[in-house]
Amino acid sequence: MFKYLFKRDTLFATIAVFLVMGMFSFIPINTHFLDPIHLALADFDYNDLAYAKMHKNESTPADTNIVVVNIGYGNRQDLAAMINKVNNQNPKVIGVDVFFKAQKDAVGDSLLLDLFSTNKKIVTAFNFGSDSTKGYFYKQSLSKGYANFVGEEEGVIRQFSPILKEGDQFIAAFAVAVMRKADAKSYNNFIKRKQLTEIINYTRKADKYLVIDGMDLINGKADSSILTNKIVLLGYVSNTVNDIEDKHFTPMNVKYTGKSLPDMNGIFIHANIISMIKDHNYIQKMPIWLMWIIGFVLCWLHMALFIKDYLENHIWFHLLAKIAQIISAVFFVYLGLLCFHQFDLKVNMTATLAAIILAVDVLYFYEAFAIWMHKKNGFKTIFTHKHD
Amino acid sequence: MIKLIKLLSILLLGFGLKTFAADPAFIVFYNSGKATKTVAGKAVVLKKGDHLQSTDQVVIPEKTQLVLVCANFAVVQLKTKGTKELKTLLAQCNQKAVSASSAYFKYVWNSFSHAHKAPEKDPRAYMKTYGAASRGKGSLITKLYVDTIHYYTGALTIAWTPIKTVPSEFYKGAVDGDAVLVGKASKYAKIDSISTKLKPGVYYWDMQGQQSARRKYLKLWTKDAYQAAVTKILNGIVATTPAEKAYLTGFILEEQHFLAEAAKYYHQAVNMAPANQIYVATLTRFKP
Repeated sequence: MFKYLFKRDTLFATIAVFLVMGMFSFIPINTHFLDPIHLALADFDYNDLAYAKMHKNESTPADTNIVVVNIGYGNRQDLAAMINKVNNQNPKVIGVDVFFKAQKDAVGDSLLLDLFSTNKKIVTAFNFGSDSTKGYFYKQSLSKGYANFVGEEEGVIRQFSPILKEGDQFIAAFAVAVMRKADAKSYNNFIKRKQLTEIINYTRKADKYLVIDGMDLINGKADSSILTNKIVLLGYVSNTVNDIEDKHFTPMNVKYTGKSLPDMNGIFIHANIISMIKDHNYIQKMPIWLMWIIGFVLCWLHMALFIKDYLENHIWFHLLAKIAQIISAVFFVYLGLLCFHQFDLKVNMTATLAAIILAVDVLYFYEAFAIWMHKKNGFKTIFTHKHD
Repeated sequence: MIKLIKLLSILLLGFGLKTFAADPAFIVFYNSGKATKTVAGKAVVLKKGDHLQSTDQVVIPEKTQLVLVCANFAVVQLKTKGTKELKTLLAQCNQKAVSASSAYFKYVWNSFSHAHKAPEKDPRAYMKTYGAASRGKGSLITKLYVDTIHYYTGALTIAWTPIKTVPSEFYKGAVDGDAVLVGKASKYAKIDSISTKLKPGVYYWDMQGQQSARRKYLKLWTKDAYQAAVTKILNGIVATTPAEKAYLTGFILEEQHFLAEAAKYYHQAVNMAPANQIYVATLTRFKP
């Protein structure tokens, strides 16, 4: 293999692989719909396996700085009563992860309006979009953040957009707006990252957050003193697995692909984002230039191996090449997963895998092209002796 | 090889042309009388299986029902006397489902022509999912506060705004379970007529399609228990002027959720002092 590593043809064939990949990327049509594997695994990310199969973050301890208050089926008056109860305990911030689409009952609306327009500790959630879809209390709320995540509609929620510009002003995501009030230092640290989208580092499932029932809080059945100096989030928490109100697919879903039930309530996704910002525990992305360099080097090594088999062991070439491709695919996906699992580093191995898979086919083309060049212009190539 | 490519091209062209072939827009399924179509100036009575194009006109005589089937098997019924242009009925037929071939090639074209985007580059296009529970979607607001109603007898109409015709659904459970009674679609719920179909007991209800946080509570009392409860409330009313006493009685009864009984006393107050706008406005809430 190393005999061929520094041959000119190996380098040219490797370059040819990336030229072909570049050509594919410039075709202005989308051919993914013809790929059954792509269709079956749409909205799938290899890194989801780190959660589903490699138990990433399963041993993370509970986050005691955040308390979730389950609003259950409480009406607007109940919600106002819950917020008042929480506020009496002097929490750091009260995040109300409830979307009020329209006016409802006069008493409940009036109570909530008074709270949202006067209490500086309250952060409300709204729907990112046109003004008419932002919700009934949007304009009057003192502090607010959009509760939207970034992802395919009804797909797996892996990332969110921290800050967006709307007109002249910058608007923050709900969790970011909560952190701005709860921990200004962590918030500033996070904002300095200047990411258009941030990958959510899921560290905890619902059972790793303290949840208290809002109705119990109103009726005095719950110990409200645990809310003091905490980040309190009010939202809906499902009672059963089949209750899917405000529930979403996350990489922590045990079923990482195919048909399954959504696994996490929106309030816990926001809680995970808050934990991530508070702990400065971000997912880092490998730079694109480094990804391409790694892809090129690995493709070069594979090309040297393939050329060796092609010239010296042609009868077994195809079988050996396929085996090498499978082993490489498994190994490099594992390597990427390991980086994600151990170091919270997202390594995109797509280019590497694509290059290795294309290498065999491009080698055939390159061989024919090199021989043609040899016959026409005397181009020196290692493939000539095979046909002489 | 070239022959094979030519053959494939012809087949593809054939499939493509089939996509544009003029299929009949409707087929006559049933003609109860003498519904006709005009062909070359003559009225031809339609019979089962006749093909009709979207450019055709049909004439429906009195007491005649003409049933047509769209190309996608949707059924269109015509009963009203008069002339009907069939192109006006096309909206009722989903044209997208007409041809399997055209549907497939449309899918291919759409897939080819839609660029492969990434959320990282344009997050706004991928922000349709929001992680918050919704409270208040499509809410109809009742004119009266009806989260609890105690009822035995008397006229009681619950109207809502915006004015919308929806059935009211009555359940045994506060959260889950099938409806034990679904009222007729209406712009209001008549509790007096609904109560005749239900036995005394506790029920939960709501207007259909509402995403209420909690169903409304309705207790249908037995006669004796109801009268005892109302009498107990009435005993506590302070006597002032007759009209004022009637209004005050209605107010206390409404506060205690005996709405039908409250409406009766508000009526009395308005009858005794029709110029009092507070009385009139209060009573108006009980009207559809």
